[in-house]
Amino acid sequence: MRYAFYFDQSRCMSCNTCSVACKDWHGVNPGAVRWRKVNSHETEGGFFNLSMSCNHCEKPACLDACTAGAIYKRADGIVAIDRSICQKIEDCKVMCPYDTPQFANNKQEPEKIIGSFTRHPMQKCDFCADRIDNNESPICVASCPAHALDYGDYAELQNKYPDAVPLTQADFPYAYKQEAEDKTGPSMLIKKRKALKIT
Amino acid sequence: MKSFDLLSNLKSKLRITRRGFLQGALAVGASATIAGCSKVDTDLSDKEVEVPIDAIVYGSTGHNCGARCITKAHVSNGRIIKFTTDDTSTYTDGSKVSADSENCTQSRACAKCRGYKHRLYHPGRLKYALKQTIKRGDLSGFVRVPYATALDEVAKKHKAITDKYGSESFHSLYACGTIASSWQGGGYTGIWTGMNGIGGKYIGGQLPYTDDYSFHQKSFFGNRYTGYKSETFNAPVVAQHVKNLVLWGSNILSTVNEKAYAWIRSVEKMKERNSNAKVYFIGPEFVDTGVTLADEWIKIKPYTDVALMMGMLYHMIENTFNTDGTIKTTPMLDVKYLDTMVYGFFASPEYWVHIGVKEVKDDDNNVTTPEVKATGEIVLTEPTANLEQYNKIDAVPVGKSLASYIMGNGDYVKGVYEATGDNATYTSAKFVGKARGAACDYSATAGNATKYMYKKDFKLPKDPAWASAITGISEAKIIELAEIYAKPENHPVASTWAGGQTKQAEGVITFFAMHSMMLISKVWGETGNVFDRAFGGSRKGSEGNLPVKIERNVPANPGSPVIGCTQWLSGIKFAFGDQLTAANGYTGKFVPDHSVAEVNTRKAYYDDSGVKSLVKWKRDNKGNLIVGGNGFYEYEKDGSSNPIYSGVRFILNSGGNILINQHMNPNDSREVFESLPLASTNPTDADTLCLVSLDNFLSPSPRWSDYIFPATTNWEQEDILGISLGNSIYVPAVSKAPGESKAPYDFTNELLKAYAKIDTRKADLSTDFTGGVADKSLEAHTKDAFAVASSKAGILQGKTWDEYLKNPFLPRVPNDSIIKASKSKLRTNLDTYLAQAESDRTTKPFVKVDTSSDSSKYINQSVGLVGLGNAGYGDMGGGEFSKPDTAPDSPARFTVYSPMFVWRYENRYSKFHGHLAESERGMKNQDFETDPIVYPIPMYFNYEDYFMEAYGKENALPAVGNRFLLTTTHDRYRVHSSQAENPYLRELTHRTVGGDLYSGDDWNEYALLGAEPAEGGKLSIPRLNKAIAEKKLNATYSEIWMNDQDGSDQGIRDGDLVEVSNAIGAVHCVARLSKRCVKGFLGLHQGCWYDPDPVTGVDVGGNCNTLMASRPSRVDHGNAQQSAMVSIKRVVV
Repeated sequence: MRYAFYFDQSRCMSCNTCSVACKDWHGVNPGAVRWRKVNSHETEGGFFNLSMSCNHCEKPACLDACTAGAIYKRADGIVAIDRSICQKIEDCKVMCPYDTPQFANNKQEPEKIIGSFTRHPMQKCDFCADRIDNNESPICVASCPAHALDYGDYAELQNKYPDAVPLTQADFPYAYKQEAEDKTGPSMLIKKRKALKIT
Repeated sequence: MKSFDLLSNLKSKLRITRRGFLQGALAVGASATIAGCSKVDTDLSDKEVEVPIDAIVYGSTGHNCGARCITKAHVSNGRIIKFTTDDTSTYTDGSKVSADSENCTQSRACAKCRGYKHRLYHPGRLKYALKQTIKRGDLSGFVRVPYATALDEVAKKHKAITDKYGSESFHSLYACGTIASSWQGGGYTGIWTGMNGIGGKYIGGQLPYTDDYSFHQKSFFGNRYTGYKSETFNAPVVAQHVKNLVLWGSNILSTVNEKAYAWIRSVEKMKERNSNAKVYFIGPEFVDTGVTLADEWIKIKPYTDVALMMGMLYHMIENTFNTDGTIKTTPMLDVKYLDTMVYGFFASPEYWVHIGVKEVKDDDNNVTTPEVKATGEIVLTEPTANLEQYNKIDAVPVGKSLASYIMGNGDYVKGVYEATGDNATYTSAKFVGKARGAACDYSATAGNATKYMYKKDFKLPKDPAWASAITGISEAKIIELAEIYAKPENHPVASTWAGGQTKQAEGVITFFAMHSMMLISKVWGETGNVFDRAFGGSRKGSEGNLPVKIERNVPANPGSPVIGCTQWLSGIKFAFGDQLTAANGYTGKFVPDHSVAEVNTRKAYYDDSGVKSLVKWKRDNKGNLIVGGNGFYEYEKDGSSNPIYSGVRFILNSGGNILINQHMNPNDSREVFESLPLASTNPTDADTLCLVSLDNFLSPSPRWSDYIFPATTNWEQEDILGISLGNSIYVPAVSKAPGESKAPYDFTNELLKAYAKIDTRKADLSTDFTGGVADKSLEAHTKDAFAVASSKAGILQGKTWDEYLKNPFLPRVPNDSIIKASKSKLRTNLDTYLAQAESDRTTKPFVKVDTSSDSSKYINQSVGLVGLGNAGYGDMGGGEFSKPDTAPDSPARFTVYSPMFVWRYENRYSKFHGHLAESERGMKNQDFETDPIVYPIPMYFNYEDYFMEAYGKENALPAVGNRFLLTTTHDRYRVHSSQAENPYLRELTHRTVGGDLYSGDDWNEYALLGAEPAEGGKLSIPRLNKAIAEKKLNATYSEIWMNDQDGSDQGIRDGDLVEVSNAIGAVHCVARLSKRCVKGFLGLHQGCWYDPDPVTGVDVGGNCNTLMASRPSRVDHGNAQQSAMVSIKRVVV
């Protein structure tokens, strides 16, 4: 089992319902930290929406980088964090090609989590593990008015959406914070939007 | 067993246990992890790790946000902790919900409802009644007063004013903050429209209005001037038939959430069906709808759509006629059709057409006037017999037709044009020898000295080169677009208009031109050849609605003029013009085209749209207006025999922000309000303006009001809300409202009780309002209805109230049936007629004979019908015209040249103008150079002309090197301007200076109230944006979208703080540089709250309307709030 997201770029209308629903469900206060981000990227070929959270990689760079051992990968592929033992070293953020790990400030996270090592431990998408464990779809998938998001086992998603391609730097350079070798195995499949003609 | 009462249990949350919830309703076992917690959400902070979910309650929103979707509130101890949305998997017919269908009715809410928690529990919620005691708008002048005291004072003030100035002085203001629920009184006047004006009628009546702020130009224009009517336009039509979908600026994916998926899926299916099918987006800002759907973005300068259409029509005409007026071998346009059905395309002589007479019966069903069927006969001289059976059709003078305007003095279609042979028709045969085509004969009185650019172009051919220079679109692309519309092989072509076009200075003309283009190119009457704003899926009827009915005896509103909805501020100036002086602080500087001297002497602005009608009217004992012997309505006079000027003196504003924020030019509104004495000084004084707001926050409109009442919002008030994709559902109150907030239903009930104290004739009104039983709640009425519904056959039969509450939502079953291509009856009849042999076609007139409906028995009366007294015009059933018999007859065919368009303008409200000199009656159709404002054809009016007028004739427009056109598309994250305070949404459109997207961090420093004072104490309210006021680095500003090359040219970088200004106002924003804007364009999205700096006056809130001139749109006098010309500069911080 390898949980993955599917994203239909030709359907996304960058409405941010997914990202707001995510913040609401997970109780993330207003502020810069948002586990799922939506943006409309401008390239030579037109404008391309992307809704992306953690890609729950096959070989998570964040996990390898975490010397505190706070990040772990579940048997179902979900990359999770034990916030109580995070030491806020931030190597995870440095190593993640997608800039996924985030850290709140005092305003957004005014009170320390009881028993946690640091005031603002790393946080990121946990694939709605609480919902998955309750046989519910991730909140972003369930919220999308455009039906542009789906989730499931990576291989099954490939069969379900034969037009989808894996997330790679070549096809989606704007998903990456900088040029990097594709070696983490992101669990993300995308149906690409066609190029736009501008006249 | 006692039935579970969710509502009362939640209201008394302290007396019930969590177990009580779990036993009673909707219990689920999920839990969630809280990653952060809020100082505000103190209840949440106690439950950091595990949050038990006690109840999940179905609901929706009442805001005017374009849709009504399903949200489910997860409630714990009377507090909403999170939301989910519809996840229905099976329809009522047993079929599975499938997103494969473009008609899918799973109702998924958008970000606005998903973020609602931070609106409900916002620290800035109003809690108590407030009264302004210093000056309107003064944040240090609000005093907390007992709710009942404030209501008593408001009732007294209302009575004093309306006793002296009549019911027409009371205006329940256009307000759409809470529009959805008629049960809570929702509607465009916020509190009472949805109740059919009930509140105003109970307390003596009110001044009604016509049209609306969203689509004023479209609402005004309708389809009656041209006769154009779209066929069915829905998602299955797009999926199954449309070949080309042309989005004229549409932004439906942002503004109408419930239709978004229908658009997305139907366009997918359209392309799966036909790989050549294409979606074009034409607009200056490539909005989200374009990003998602378009194959091609055709960049166009703002406000130039009409020029584009004229260029397209030129190409069609050029490829139809030779220069001598003969017709090309393979004409692009269908000339037979144009001659038969389209009035005003070419010149035509005055003539009479036989339209017959409808049968009339008396009360005993006896025929008093027998039917005479139309023959369609055309005669060129006035008939000597049976004249009543004919419509007289005005001549379209040579050189004045639409074709002549388009061709200018070019080489085409000059002189006598005669259709012969295959192109001959009955009509053309009748006009033989009459000049039809000619050079354009429109001219400027001032000649070459005219200051109006549009007049200088009269004689120019409106060819693609001309259109290209104006629009920025290449000639080749203009020709391509023309051929999409004109060539049947490119049909069906579906076109959508946008809300933006109908809020522009020339919005009415844009619709006139669009209709004309559709009619001339024959894009009508066939499946898929359609034109509308928003299409949705196809569904079967809704099930599970409750038959709630509240029996009331509501008095009729007294007879009254009906002003344009945007005219209320002019109405205030009309009432208090003599007090709006420099000595009182009114400078008038924000309205350069209307002098203070004119304000002081009650000279109506832009003459007018009903304001001159606002005197106190005489009425008979039934409340009807009285027509005097001179044919005008009779009015009340003061001791000096002058009219009693009612104007607008008392405004009730419920859940609305029109008073300041959403009306154009808040700087001027503010000056007016601040210059006039407060209402609260003496509640029985009839001579002060009184502004009353009922609201959730101290948004700008309540801020400048005299009295403020705290209001509940959805989830805090019980309601019945009609879900767009399903049925109407009852929504209980599940969260306690702050302080003394009341629902509109309860506010109305209490106001009527307050009224009863001062007017014994109104003693029983509150009981009547609640359905004959004092204080009977909406829940009680709903339960009555449920008892009926659950005891009868139907989907609710046998259900208990608890079972209903668990899931009241029933999505409508999609209608996925195949749609066969077809033609309308009119099109079928017409095509059959035109296909006849020449001998028949030229001797028999076209009459659309169809027995399916009475009106269509007569010649083409279903199209081109431009008569008086039609509600489609928003007029008072014809009762506002002093000389209705002078109105032009219907040409009984499609119309691209409309004498009625001009006549109606010149005669509006004339029956109320008996108190004016003859020269002042009606509406003056004359610009600064004594040329018409309104012409009978759609012309391209250069946008520079509007700005020249609006910013003052003598004022220079912004310098050419720094001149930008600004529009204000609706932002998907604000419901117009409500939820502008919601931090979950605000952070999506606001950035810190120099910050990236989502850099906002001032979420609990915005829209706050000061510390709560005791009753009678003053509030100390901080500035709207505390972080900006305190010059903090985390302060955020609204983004303004700007072309990246323009940014480079102006020395502006992405993230820079910028000042955008014109002769009307100035705002501060953060620049968002993007290739999604055409050069020369700025996009400042609708709905930010007006927040003027106390020293500079610059609106740091970034409200786009601060830049919008007061000058209304042409013809309809609506809100031209998508029209601004501005400069932009970087602000050094």
